[in-house]
Amino acid sequence: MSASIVVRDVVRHYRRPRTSLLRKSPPVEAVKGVSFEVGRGERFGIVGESGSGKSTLLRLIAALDRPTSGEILIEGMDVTGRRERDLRFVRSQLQVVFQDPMGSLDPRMRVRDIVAEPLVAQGDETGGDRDAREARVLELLQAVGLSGQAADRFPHQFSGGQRQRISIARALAPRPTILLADEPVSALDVSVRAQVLNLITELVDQLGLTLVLVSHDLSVVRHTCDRVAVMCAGEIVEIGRTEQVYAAPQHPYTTQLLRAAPSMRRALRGGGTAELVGGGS
Amino acid sequence: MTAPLPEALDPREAAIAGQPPVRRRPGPSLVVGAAIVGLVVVLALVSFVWTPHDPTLVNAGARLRDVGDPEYWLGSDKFGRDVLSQILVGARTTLFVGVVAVGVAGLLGVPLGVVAAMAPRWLGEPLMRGMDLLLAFPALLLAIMFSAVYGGSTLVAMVAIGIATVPSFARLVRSGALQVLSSEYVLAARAAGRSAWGIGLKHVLPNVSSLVIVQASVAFAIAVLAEAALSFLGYGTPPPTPSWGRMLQESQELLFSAPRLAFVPGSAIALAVLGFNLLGDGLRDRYDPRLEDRR
Amino acid sequence: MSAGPVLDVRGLSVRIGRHGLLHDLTFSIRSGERVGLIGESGSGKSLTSLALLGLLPEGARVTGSVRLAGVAHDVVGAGERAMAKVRGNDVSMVFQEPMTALNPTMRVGAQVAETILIHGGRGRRPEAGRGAVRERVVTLLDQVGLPTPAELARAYPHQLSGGQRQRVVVAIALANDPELLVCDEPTTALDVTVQAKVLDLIVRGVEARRAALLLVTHDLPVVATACERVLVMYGGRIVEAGAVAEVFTRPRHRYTEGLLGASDLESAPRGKPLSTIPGSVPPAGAFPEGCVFRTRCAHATTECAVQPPWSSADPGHGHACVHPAGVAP
Repeated sequence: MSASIVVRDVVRHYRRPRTSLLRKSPPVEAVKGVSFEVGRGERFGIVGESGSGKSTLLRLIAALDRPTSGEILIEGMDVTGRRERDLRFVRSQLQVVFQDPMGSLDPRMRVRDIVAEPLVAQGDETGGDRDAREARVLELLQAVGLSGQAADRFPHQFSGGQRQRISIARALAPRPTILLADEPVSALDVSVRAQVLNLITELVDQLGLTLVLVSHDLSVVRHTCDRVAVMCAGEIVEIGRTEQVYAAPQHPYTTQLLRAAPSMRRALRGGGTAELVGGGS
Repeated sequence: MTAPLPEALDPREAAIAGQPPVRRRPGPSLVVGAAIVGLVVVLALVSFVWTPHDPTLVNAGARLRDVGDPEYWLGSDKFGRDVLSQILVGARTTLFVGVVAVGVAGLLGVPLGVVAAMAPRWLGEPLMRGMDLLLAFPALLLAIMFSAVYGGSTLVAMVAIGIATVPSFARLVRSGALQVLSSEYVLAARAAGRSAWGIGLKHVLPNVSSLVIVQASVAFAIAVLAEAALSFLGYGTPPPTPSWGRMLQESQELLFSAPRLAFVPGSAIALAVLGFNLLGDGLRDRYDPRLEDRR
Repeated sequence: MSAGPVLDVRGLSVRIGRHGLLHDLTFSIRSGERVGLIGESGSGKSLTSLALLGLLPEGARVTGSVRLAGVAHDVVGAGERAMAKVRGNDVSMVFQEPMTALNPTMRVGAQVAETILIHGGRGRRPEAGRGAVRERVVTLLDQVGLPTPAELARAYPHQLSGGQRQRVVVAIALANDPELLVCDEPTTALDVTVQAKVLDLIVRGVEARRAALLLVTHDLPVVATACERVLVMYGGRIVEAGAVAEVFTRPRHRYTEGLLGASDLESAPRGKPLSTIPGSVPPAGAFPEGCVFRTRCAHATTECAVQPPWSSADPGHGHACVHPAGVAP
């Protein structure tokens, strides 16, 4: 199985501003030597809490940030530390859906311009033809369950779940082969979460995309992904097939994480909050 | 009694279209501001075609006439020049002053601010320190220096004031641009493949425009008042060209005997400044897509 | 401990501007009971919690009645001065955002002390001067599981993590042993492992004081874990109420049924789509007449155009649906 994404010993340090005149501040080690591969068409999840480095890792894979050391290969091509103009290949192959439905859409742009942005920015697969572009925008809006009327409107006229649909439409515009999703449903209500998750899985299936889903929500990753990596403090502490990791976690942090997440099943069996923290009968 | 619901309420149809836009009536700021600015423009335009008297004509026999005089409707100054005619022609000067000063400040300051925000530190930091230096330099002194070198005229004085106002635009735009650049939609634009130029033009500029509009109206006010001060010092609009600022300056010695000579140009200046401020606020609100029908 | 309910809400309705946002809410909470209030955005759940503390914005028109044990007057219509004596004392609230809930310029110990000093002891806990208050503060900080409480009391909020700040907020809320603790999404902004600890802390805190808890959230497993009873809100109304075990296994109202289906990611088979509620929540003021849920309900009929009656005499157990799930038609 050829790998869509290869991450090898990737490290990302940030320098902090000096607090002492004489000594440099110790760097923030956001990602401390991470390695894994994602196969073509695979659905890969990354789970972790805040500060685990999962969002940083996602940005590194998306070539929106440079690793301090290590290598990242997208579809076999080394994209580590390349300049923007050499990354055109990545920009058309790999797209990102971000977390914040409010902040990831330019409030001053109409939906049609937002969705068409990757096309316009990448020199327009539709050959600069306005009509062809418009047709593609409508096609995309339909694919995510929005009507053509939505194209004229502004982001604030939509609810959170609807804005995520717009984000997804934008991500699909350049016909990518890889979709990265950074907490795509964390900011959404329960019932909307289900709708958007269904949409993502449906589109990923239909278009045969490779999916990397980052989330702090274990149940989301479990439902959507085939394999999962658990991150803690910049490192991957456990990685494996989702079913296995959830049924038989190897690392104590994974166990702690699984236990701490409130679960309907356990609660209805009589489990209280004490069980979440590892005590109780 | 258990008939299924009519089509209109069936949730399974109707793809999402978002909330329809709410038609907003233009806010009072925009209307009043536009009206006042419009008035000033009309006065200036009318002055090209007609003025009651020649505003530069000295008439010793008609000195210091009062407001409401049949020949000199707003009175006349100590040289016998018609106040109303001076106001009409002076409107041209006021608009000219505003356009040049704000134009120069904006055209230089906004791009500088955007570049300073988007450039790497070794370029951005010195740029902002340069702005700090310029900010520290007294604007009026700059105008005087320019007048000494290039000759005194409204244009020279206003270019100088414009240059002196560049730092306030640059600093404001840089701070706004930094905020925009740290947003997720700019990150998404980078992921979409936008170049730095594209991001600056399509995302940064529109999102700092509201800041710039407001700053422009403030800068206009400052420019008009600066022109008045310069005229006082003998720089700025040279006589005999009428200017509201110089009218104000000339009225000083007669402040107690003929306060109307200060009141008329002073009110004109105040009204014009108010008009531009309101217009600025109104435009900013009008073009912000987020401001909906506030219930 | 009084025999009557700690909180008794009858016919609470709130209008803001042109829209009615809460309609005819009726429920009560007994001493020591832990009740969850479930709702999504636009359901009115946060507004309800604010209404219980008299914290609604200016211009809100409130009708109905909210009675608290130990408080002689009705919360509805009470003036600010009267309510200031009640908040932090008889009823306390924990909000969602730990980052903004604390005053950044005040040490955390001082903030805990402030709430004790304002309410002057209530006779149940006669404070004798600053020393006693300081001791009490350290005890409280220790009870909420903060390490080195005496030193931590001198820290400023920015020196603490989100979880630690939320613990301080809980300490402030419980400082005067209120009869009722209201929490609005107290753990949503926290990490999973921290969330577990803070939830456990809240539950132990109210249990130790035999106080009642109203936990407002959209997270069903959290309510299932921490609460005994649940109220489900949609469109400003309570659509179902009952014991957690009952409502979450045998939901009656179609919205509850849909919500449970949509949130149950554990049992949904992988590769199959999750069950969803079609459509989306209408904006305020756009809810339909009659049953608030009927525009999204697959079982709606013309009967639903009339407001469905509550299914039982007890507002704490029942549903407002004429085509409920699990009941033979």
